[in-house]
Amino acid sequence: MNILIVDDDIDVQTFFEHFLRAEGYTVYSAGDGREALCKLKEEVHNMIFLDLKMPDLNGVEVLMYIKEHYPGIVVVVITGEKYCDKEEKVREIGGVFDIIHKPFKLDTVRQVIKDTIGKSA
Amino acid sequence: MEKDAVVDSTDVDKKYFFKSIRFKFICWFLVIALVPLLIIGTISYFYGKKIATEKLFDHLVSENDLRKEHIRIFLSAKKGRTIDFSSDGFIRDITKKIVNGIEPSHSREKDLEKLNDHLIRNKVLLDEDIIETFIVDLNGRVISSSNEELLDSDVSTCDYFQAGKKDVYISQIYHVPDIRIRDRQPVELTLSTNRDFIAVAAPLKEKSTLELIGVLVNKVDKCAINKILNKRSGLGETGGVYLVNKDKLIVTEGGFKKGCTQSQKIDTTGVRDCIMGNDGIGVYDGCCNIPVVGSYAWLDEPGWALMLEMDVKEAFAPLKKIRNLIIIIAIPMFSVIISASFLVSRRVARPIISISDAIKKIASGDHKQRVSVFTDDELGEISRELRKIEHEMEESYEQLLHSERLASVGRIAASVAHEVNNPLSVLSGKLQLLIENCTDNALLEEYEKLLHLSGRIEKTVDGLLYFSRQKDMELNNVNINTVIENSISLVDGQMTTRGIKIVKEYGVKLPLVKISVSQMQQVFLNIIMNASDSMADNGILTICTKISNDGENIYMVFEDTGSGVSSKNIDKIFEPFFTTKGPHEGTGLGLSISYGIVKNHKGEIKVESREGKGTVFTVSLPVNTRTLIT
Repeated sequence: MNILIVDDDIDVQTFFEHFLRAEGYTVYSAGDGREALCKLKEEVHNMIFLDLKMPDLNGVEVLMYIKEHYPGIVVVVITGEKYCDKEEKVREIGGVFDIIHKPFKLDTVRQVIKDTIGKSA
Repeated sequence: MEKDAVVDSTDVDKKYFFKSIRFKFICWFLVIALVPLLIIGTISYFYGKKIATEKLFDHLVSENDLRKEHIRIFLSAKKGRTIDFSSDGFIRDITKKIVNGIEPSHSREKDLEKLNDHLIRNKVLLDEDIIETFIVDLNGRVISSSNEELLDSDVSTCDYFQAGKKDVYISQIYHVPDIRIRDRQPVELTLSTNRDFIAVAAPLKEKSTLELIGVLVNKVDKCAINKILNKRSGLGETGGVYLVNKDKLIVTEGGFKKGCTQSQKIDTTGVRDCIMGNDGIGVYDGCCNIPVVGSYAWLDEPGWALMLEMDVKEAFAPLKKIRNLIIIIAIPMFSVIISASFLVSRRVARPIISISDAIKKIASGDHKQRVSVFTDDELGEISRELRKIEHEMEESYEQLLHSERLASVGRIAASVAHEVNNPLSVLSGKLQLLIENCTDNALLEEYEKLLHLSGRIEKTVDGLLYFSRQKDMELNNVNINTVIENSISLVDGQMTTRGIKIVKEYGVKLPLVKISVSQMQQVFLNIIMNASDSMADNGILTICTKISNDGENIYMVFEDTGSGVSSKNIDKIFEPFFTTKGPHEGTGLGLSISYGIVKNHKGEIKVESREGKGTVFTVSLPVNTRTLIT
């Protein structure tokens, strides 16, 4: 299972990579939206953990692109923002499997991935 | 303050005096006060002048008329006297005898003697004004006279002889010296006397046939006329009366103080008009070009202009007095009015200037400005209203400052929170991994402590984000009493345990309010928990709900008997992270979140507190729906 981590914070990105690799998944990572789109072209991904606040192409824009071009990929939004309009906007766009708020519980992430596998299976 | 206002107003005076309201007041005051005064002064002066002139003219005309009449009567009396003499039978008889020359010379001598004697005794003495009387035969020779010196002299060339043959005649005035100098009259005529005279002649006629036999002449003393003319009464200092003949020559000595003399030719406007036969009065240049007021009257017989003149300076002296009096009254009056206008304008303008200064200062941002006008008129009213406005402005300015500060704190908090979240998620994630993989119990305990700390950070950050959230709320129309009741039920157990009593004074028939129930519940919980924390056991929390007098707001009042908040801290109570509790008891976000929630509901939250006595939180919310509950 290929998972793409999209986050502009290098620490978050690295942690996610280590954690998910330890869980046994193939993990790719991107620092911003543009890089994420490149990675998507290079490799087939089953799942994306997508941050919303990023320079250049932000999470919402990436989400809209994925929804259009890669409708098969499961998108999980992972965001540091709370109680704001962005979350609602994301829900309006649709195609999002779940929204996880930072800081997260590792079990929540595990559960989401499990659910994803269940869904795709 | 008062002193400042005065200094300010003088500064303004210097710079903008001509544009200032004070200058306008002065102008108006002067216009209102001076214009009527000037008008009244001018009118009264000219009216007085007219009256005085009329009176003067009337006086001069009547004086002149009096003299004219007097002269006329005098002359007509002399005329009558002459006619009387000429009709004397004795004179006529003797004259006829002499003229006819039919008598012998000795009896003629006798007759002449008798006649002369008759003239002296019975005629000249009758009238003191008559200098002499004489009879002229038809050849112009004096045949009889009261003055012997005149006998046999020839007067055939004299006007009185020529005219006297036809009718009674009054001659012009004969000036004795002039006669001599000019040699116009026979010298003999002047021998008897050196006095000027007027000759009054009448024809002598035969009794029965009325045949002309001679002329009787009376020489009337000119002094008699002078006496009439020179009566000083009513002429003042400079007035004078004189006679002018048709040739514009002055024929009397004149009554003038200065200037003209007898026999001088005079050609003034008055004289010219008078010898045309007119009577009148006017102001013109008299003799020697001195301006005079002259009244003139024409005497047909013997053709004299009777001139009564008075120096203009004297004639109009009363007018000058009136003018001077007006000036004397006006000058102090004007200075009083001008100084009064300055004083009054200052008095009236001062409060206006003071108000204007205050408004300027308020406009420039000085909200502590206080207007100091305490009159009971409209200005005082303006001042009072202005003070109210100032007070309200100051209050709302403070509130604005407060909410601005809170809003900017909110924005900072949001960005800080967001930045903190990334490292925090890594930290908490790694800790979770460590805990999962840890086999050493001692270490595990430490890791869990760390995770708990990380959880506290998370909570704080969450609170910050919540405080600064801009999310729309789900609003419902609810009864506020129910919301409060629900909030209380969440902490009821805890309260009962501590012996804290909650007194509920809910208002009845309150309109519904449109609110987010969960958020408002959080507000009430915050306030109740704060109250509970500040109170020792057995405290009392009174919760009261009511509607404002204008029916537009609902008030929720939470009054506790706790320790209160010091005045030093009360201003900071809604600021994020401000707390008086210990480090493990509160985040310092509860009240600032409550503040944000109430503001989002367009409501207000206020706090009043007395240290040691208790704190009162008042939440007010606007009523949107007027639905009454029963």
